[in-house]
Amino acid sequence: MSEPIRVLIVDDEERFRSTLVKLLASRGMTAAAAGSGEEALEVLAREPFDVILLDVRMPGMGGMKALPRIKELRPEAEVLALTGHASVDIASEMIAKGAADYLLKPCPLDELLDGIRAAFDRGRARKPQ
Amino acid sequence: MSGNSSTSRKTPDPVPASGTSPPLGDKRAVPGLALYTVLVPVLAGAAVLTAAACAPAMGVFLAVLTLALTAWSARRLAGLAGRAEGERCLLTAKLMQSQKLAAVGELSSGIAHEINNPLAIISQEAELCGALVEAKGAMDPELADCLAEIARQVARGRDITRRLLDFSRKMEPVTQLESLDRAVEDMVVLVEKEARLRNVNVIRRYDPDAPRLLIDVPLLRQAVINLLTNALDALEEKDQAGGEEAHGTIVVSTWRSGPGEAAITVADDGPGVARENLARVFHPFFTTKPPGKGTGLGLSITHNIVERMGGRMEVVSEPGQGAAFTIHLPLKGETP
Repeated sequence: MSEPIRVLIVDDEERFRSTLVKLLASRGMTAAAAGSGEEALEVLAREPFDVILLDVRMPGMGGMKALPRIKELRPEAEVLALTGHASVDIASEMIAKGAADYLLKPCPLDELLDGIRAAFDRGRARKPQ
Repeated sequence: MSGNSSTSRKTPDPVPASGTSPPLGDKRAVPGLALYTVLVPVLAGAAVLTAAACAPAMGVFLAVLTLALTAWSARRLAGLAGRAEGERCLLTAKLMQSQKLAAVGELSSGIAHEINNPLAIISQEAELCGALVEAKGAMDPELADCLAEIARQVARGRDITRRLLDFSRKMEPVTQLESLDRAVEDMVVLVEKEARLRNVNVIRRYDPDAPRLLIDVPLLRQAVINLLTNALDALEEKDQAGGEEAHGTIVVSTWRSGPGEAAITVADDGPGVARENLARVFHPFFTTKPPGKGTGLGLSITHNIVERMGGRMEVVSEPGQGAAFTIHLPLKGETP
């Protein structure tokens, strides 16, 4: 049996994080959560994740600032930007900084799961065998 | 393949988007101020000096001539000052209007963002609720209907916030000097990953002397990404028809399309546009995609954006040989 996908949810909305952790767990994934960019970096320093769902706007260190540091710390992790702010400019900047994709809240669960799996497959394909 | 830069295209003839307006070219001749501030005073002075040295009759004639000349000059100067003041007032009014619109746009965008976050939580709670009830084997049709209704209303809320975000983008263009290639490249990078997943090659053919234009960068990016998404969708149709062997190509070019114009062309080697549909591709809600696959608004929005920037659009296509959509932009504020 294959290893479960390890997902880190980085979002300042506590309820969003906790519910999504349960939903992803119910779909066979291992999920953890962080409430800000700083907290995400602390968690990532301790353990690796396959996919990181990163909110763009957060108090303290937002996604835009955290992304390059996350990629520096865990270059193998695929980052999906997930935000309520639809803007081509923000999406383009996040992709330029290394995000694999850009999803808009509220994102239907199936769409989110597809995004996570696609990012995971991409990350695995990039890894040297 | 339609992927060659459109500079080399000979046939078929491009079809312009209906209702396009010519590029802005507001170059009114402004009379030289030197005439009124230097030449007229010099002539008046010369006339006075000449009058002092000649016969009285000639002096009277020169005095009348000087009077007429200075009166004419003063009248023209007053006209110029009035026109300048009028233009200044108009610019101030435009600036205030664009600041107001920018504030409204910012507000709409902020509200949309604030609403999207709770909508996301509601949507997830409903999903989790359904999963928990189902796990306990307690799901009944009425409960399932309630949960489905929550999901429907979340989708409705999401549509409203998307419209708010669209509205926030419908402001007067806020222009800045930007390299055409850079604005295009930002969007190419954005769709390239998706293109790779779909086995689509993206080829760049940028003009090495690409100009910097006075453009609304976010608006232009929106227009370019719409064309790129349209090309990807067109290639998906081809892919479905051709099976696994079908690999598409999108060529993105920037080029000078005329003495006062720069252009961006997004060409694909997809199924192309049927001749009878060419004139309608920019019409709102026109789509050849299957129901539920496209709103038919992408190209229409792009066309509107380009018109607002003072540009025009055209499409070149032969059925079965791809399509090339070109945005022509006036070289306002170009720098070498």
